[in-house]
Order: sequence, then structure tokens, then C-alpha cells
Amino acid sequence: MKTRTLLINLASIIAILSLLVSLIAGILAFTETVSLEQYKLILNLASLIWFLTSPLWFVPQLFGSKFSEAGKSAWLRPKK
Amino acid sequence: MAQGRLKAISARLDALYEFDREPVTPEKLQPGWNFASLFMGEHIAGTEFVIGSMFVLYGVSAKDLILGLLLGNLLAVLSWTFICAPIAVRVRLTLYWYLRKIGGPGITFIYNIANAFLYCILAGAMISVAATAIGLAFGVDTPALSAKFPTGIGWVLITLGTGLVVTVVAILGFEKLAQFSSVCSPWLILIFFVGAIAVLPKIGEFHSASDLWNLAQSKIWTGVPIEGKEKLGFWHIVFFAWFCNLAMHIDLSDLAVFRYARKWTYGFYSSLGMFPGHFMAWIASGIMVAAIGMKMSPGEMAVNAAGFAGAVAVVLAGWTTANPTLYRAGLALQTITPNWPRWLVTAIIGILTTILSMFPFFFMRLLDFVAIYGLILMPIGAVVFAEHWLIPKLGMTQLRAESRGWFISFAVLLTWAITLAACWFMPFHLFFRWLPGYLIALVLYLALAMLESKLRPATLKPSPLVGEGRERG
Repeated sequence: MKTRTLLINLASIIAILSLLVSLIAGILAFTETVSLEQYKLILNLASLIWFLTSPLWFVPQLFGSKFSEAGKSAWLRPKK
Repeated sequence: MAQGRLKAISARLDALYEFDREPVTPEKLQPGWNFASLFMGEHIAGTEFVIGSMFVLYGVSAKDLILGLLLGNLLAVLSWTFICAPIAVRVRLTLYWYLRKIGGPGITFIYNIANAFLYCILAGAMISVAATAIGLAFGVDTPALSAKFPTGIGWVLITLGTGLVVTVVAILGFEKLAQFSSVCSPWLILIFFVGAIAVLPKIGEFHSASDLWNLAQSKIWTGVPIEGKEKLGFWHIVFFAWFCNLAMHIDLSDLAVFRYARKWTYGFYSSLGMFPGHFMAWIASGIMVAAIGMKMSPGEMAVNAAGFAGAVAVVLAGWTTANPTLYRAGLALQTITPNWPRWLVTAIIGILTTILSMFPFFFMRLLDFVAIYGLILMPIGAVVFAEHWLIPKLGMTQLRAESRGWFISFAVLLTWAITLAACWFMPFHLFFRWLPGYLIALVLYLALAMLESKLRPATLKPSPLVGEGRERG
């Protein structure tokens, strides 16, 4: 597998995990297992990770034509 | 002279939409998944922070809200599925080109100008919403709910700065931002959801589902409006949820989307936009506004519920939706600005939008504006529906403006004007006026079209700008 495709695959997995972490943080705050401050800290970090990884997954063309091409053979291709 | 100028304007308008002139061909049809992702990404905007909160402040009860949103959103989905999508898959044209065949280029010109102005107000409201979050960082308070004019130099500078940044980005990189906005949608939906559930314990104690329901009724959607606001009930919510996207479904601007659908049943995919965006997000923003003591400040609500990520969510939700709105407004107005470069038109639209965003009136009265937006364009939806389905049943030929070379169909113009005048004088709430208005427009158009068809001959030769008509059964 080419490096760029691998990077896009990795980015998609990390991005999905960051959303899951955000969701879990919200549920933990709802059940008062974590404080509101702790929940916000987790949410901020997970959001940062989302914005660092998801563009590579969703819009690889933003990173040039080689990434755009690699995106076509990634596992979770954004549909056009 | 005037006629010549109008024709020149319509030629420029056509040139802008040239790409969409021909019906979509079978090989360009798109799979259902594309419609699902489009709808999921399109209906979560900065304005959701305002609308859901308004329901709380206008004293909607919890039961009215849940049932009203369920029914209203269902009606919206059915409108896309049974009104918009069937016409789209038969004609496979944008509303612009189909309306041009029905009403002539004069009507599309007026329609575009009206649409551009309404887009500017909408984009201005989105910039105001984003400014409420940015203002927090500079200690600038959101204007009060009753505020109509700019409330201070701080608010003016914040909206001015936000508006200018949005405009500059729209000029320099509209496409890049449009691509980037697709990244925001899943995250925004999640921020609304987790933000709301996380602050629920702050509003009151609960240990079971029935406790939670009691909390919703007693602390959030209490059924009691704040001072000076009218109470909204079940039917207000039903109609609001239904007409919130009236311009897209009943007014048919989503012909542009569904002309790529393989089947009219793709209209059901709109439910994937409605229920996360106009059900979950509105409920979530209601919870968030209750958590800050019923203060209408999207920025403060989001920061309280989701910290810095919340502030970013408000800015991005406003920004990513204001961006295409500015683009569409610019496209519409390019028709009356001959030979002006695209950046200049966008800059002027951006400045106008920024000025509008300084006036809190527009976002504080967002519910009314959304109603007026749908209402103004509604008669055109009725005209197209009548022309498509009812005119052939009366034995008349369709698309007379095209076949007879009319610059403007007076039947369409009069239907539009008389319907809006009738709606203006209707003795009931603004939210309910569009539906009787729609029925009036249908009947009026059929009568006027029959009259116009008999009394008005074809012009000497059809306009050379008129595209090829399709044979229609």
C-alpha cells in the first residue's frame, strides 16, 4: 500500500476515534462521572485531533494531486 | 431601450448559469449515498443555535416541541419527496432554467434579485451568530433580545471584523472553504449533542427517564414565554419546522439537487438532514440556553456547554454557511453589474452583509425572517407546480413563455404579486400564511395562465436566448 493511502487510512481511523472519544466524554459528563471541566478538556483535545486528521480523510485534494489520487484507493473514501 | 437593457441583463444571467442549461444526462445521475451525505452536511448551521433557543424563550412546552418537530420535519421530508423530487427527476433542470421556460427571463431576473437580498440577510444573521462567540474573547456582550440597532462600538467592531474576514475568505478561497466545510458537519452534529447532554446535570437533578422529562418541562421548555414575547404552541412548531426550508422543497430550489437523483424516492434522504439538524440540534440548543439562564447568546451557550470547542463550533457553523450564501448572492447580483470582476461583486455583497450583521434585529428576529424568506419565494414554487402537473390536465400547452418567446409572463408576475399582497393582509400568525397563500397562488396562476394564453400572442420571434424545449407529455 502506498504511503499516502496509508496516511489517509490512518487519518480516517484517528478521526473516527476522536469523535468516539468526544461522545464518551459527553456521556461521562451526563452521568457526572467526570466534571464539566474535565469533559471540556477532553472535548477540546478530541476536536483538535479531528481537525488535524479529518481533512486528509474527507478532502485529500486540499493536500495536492498526489493525495487526491491516493484518496481514491483509501478504505473509507468520501463519496463525490 | 429599457427592453433592450433587460434583454442584455437576462443574457448575462443566462451566461452565469450556462453550465446548468441542459438537462442532466443519465450517466451523470448520482447514487443515493451522495444525497444522504449532502443532506447530513447541509442542515447544521450557526442559526440552529438561535432557532432552538428561541423556542425556549417563546414559551414552547416540551410536549409541543417534540411532537411539533416530529410532525413538521416529517412534512418537510414529504414535501421534498412528493413535491420537489418528482418534478426534478422528470425535467432534470435547475429551478432557474425551468422557471425561465415558464415565466421568461424577466421573471428569473426578479427572482434572482429577491433571492440575493434574502441571502444577504441570512448570511448577515450567520455572521452575527459567529460574532457572539468571538465577542466573548474580547469581553463584548451579545446584544439584548429586544435590540434592533448596534448596541455599542464593541459589537460593531466584532461584526465588522468577522464580516470582513468571511468576505475576504469568500473572495480568496471560496472553493477551499467549501471543501473544508464538509469536515465540519459530523463534528458539529456531535458538539450539539454532547454539549446538550453534558450540561443537563447543571440544569437540575435527575435519576430516571421520567425525572429527565420532568426537568425538561419544568426548567427548559416550561410553556411560559419570557416577558414581551408571544407564546408559540404545537402548530407554530409544526409550521416552523415545515417551512424552515420552504425555499428548498415547496419553492423548488432543490430541483438543482434532485435533478441528479435516479429516483424521486431519493427525496426521503432529506430526513437525514432534518432529524439531526432540525430536531436534535434545536432540542440541544434549547438545553444549552436553559443552562445559561435563558440568555440569547449563541457564543456563551456553546462555550458553557463545550468550552473552547463550543466557541469554535459557533464560529465555524456561522462561517461555513455564510460562505456559500455570500457566493450565491454574488452570483445572483453579478447580473446587474456588467463586466465587474467576480471579486468586486463578492466584496460589495460582503460589505452589505457585514453592515446587516451589525444590526441584531436580523438574528434576534430570525424566526420571522425565516418565515418571510420562504413566503416571498413561495408563489414561484406554486407556479412551477401548477405548470408542471395541472396545466396539462386543463388541456393547455406547457412552457408558453418559451414557446411564444415572451420576455416575461404576466400570469407569473401577477400571481407572485397578488399572492404576497393577500398573505400580507391575512389575519393570522405569520407562520401559517404560506399554506393558504400557496393554494391561492395555485388557483390564481391557473386562471391567469388561461387568460394570458388566450389573449397574448407569440412575439414575432422567440428569444434567441431561450434553450431547447423538451417534449413533455
